[in-house]
Amino acid sequence: MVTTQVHVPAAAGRDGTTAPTGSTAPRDPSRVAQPTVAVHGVSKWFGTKVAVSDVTCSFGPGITGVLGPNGAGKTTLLRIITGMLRPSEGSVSIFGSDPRKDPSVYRRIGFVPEDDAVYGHLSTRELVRYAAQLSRCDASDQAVNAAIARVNMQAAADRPIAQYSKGMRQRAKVAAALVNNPDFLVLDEPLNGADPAQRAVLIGLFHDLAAEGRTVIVSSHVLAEVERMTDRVITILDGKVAAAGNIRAIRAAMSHIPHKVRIDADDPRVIAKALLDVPAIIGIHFLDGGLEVETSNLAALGTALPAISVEHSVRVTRFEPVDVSLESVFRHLLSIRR
Amino acid sequence: MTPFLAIVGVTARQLTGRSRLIGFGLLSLVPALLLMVTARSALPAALDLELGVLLVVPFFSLVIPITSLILASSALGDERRDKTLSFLVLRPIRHLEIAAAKTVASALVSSGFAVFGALALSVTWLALGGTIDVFLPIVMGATLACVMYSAVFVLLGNVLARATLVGLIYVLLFEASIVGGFSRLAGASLWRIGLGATVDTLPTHFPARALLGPLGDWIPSLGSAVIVACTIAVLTISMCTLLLKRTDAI
Repeated sequence: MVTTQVHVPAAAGRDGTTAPTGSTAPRDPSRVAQPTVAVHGVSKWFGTKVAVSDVTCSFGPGITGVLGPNGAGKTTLLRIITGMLRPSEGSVSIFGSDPRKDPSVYRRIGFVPEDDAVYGHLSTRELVRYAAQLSRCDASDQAVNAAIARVNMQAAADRPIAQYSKGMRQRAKVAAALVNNPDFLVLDEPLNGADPAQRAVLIGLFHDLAAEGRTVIVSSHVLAEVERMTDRVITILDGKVAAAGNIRAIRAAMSHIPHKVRIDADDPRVIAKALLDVPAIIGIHFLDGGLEVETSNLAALGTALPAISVEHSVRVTRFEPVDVSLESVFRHLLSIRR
Repeated sequence: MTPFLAIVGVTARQLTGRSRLIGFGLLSLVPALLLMVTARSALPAALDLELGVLLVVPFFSLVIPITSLILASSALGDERRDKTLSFLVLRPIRHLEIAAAKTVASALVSSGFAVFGALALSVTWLALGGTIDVFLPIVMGATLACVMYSAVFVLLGNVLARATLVGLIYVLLFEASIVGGFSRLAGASLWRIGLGATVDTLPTHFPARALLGPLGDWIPSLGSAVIVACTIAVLTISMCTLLLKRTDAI
């Protein structure tokens, strides 16, 4: 595993617990010192297919990103955490209770599933009120309106959800998850289908929720998306924890993986010639209007290129990794672990 | 509002979309329409018998079972298919409340269609020179049948993706053909139990003998039918509760 020191925002938990700091955090970066949610040795298999394998991790106040490519096991892990799936092995504890044995803990949990699972015949207002009634909490107009306002859905709150775009449906689900004022929120790919403006609203909201001391888990297969939300990530691949800890450390680990980068510039030959002096460059290929550069250190290339551009007065119009799918990165991280 | 009532309300709305309202509404009118058409060619003295036969054939044996099983199968089945089950089960409520609320909602909606059909049949009967006092007995038997079908098929809808198909096989093959041929199996036919309650409460001037043939060997009284319906409902709701608790909510 890529061992990095855990960083959790130093917000006080809503139940009085204090988030761990770097000095008190345990050595295992997939765990926090004072967890509100603990996953211990959890495995889940469907027939012969192992979806999650011996995952141990914990979560405290603040946002934790669960990162991994599609099919890595993130959703299965989150479903186990919420009690939606029974683990084949291992246990989950939320505020000291197993949600499958003690449903009262759901008063403190909000869950936004990945699936487009929503009652299309209801409006957002009706969905949020239904969620409040099912959670045995305040279902008054005031409480419902407050939840809707948090996701900026007032204008469309009375339209049937079936008429919404995917991004709007996501926000409706988030509003329904917030109406019981949960201490623990699980958001499975909450930004799927959201446009940039909706993403900004949701990310701002998640930051606010974390700042209020709630434990928030956000899953995503997009590294940049998670990076906008949190420092702390747990990366999952093939059902296992591939890396955990500070996202910058994971990024640093990623930067040493051989990468291919597409670079377009006004004068690619000048850039190519200058790059030959950069030690991390493994190879350069000329393409139509640009270069494909292979490097062993993406960070070094990222540092060298602006300097070359300025020194030779060549404008760089494109800098884009061409083979760095999240999956390939995680596979590399997993190989380090093994 | 309690979670139970909230689930009943939302489920009832789920089950009564526009196409279902129109489709099942028209289906409920079929027996009344048949009565109207056949009455034109029948002698007045034969009308009692015709109402009896038309009660049995399309209303109790087809309209009620088909309406109830389709609605009940989708009460929990649609939640699984649409992946909204987590919205219900990840809540601080007992699974018993969910199972009971789904069954009650299905029974209410299918009974609503049954009452509509029974009203149409009774009014048609009245227009043809009969009396309206057949309405309540029909409603009682139909409601009991709806409760039984709802209880069974809410459970099956939670377990099987093709519960509606299984239900149709049960109704069209088992209840119609097999029980029709082996009258000793009449006790395993849900609509016959409901019809038994109707026969037991029909006014004395009504020639209930017309209904005895399709009922088979066992002709339950209203009390027996209520006991059987309650027993089936308790058993299936308990099983459904257990399954919701023990299985994955996806």
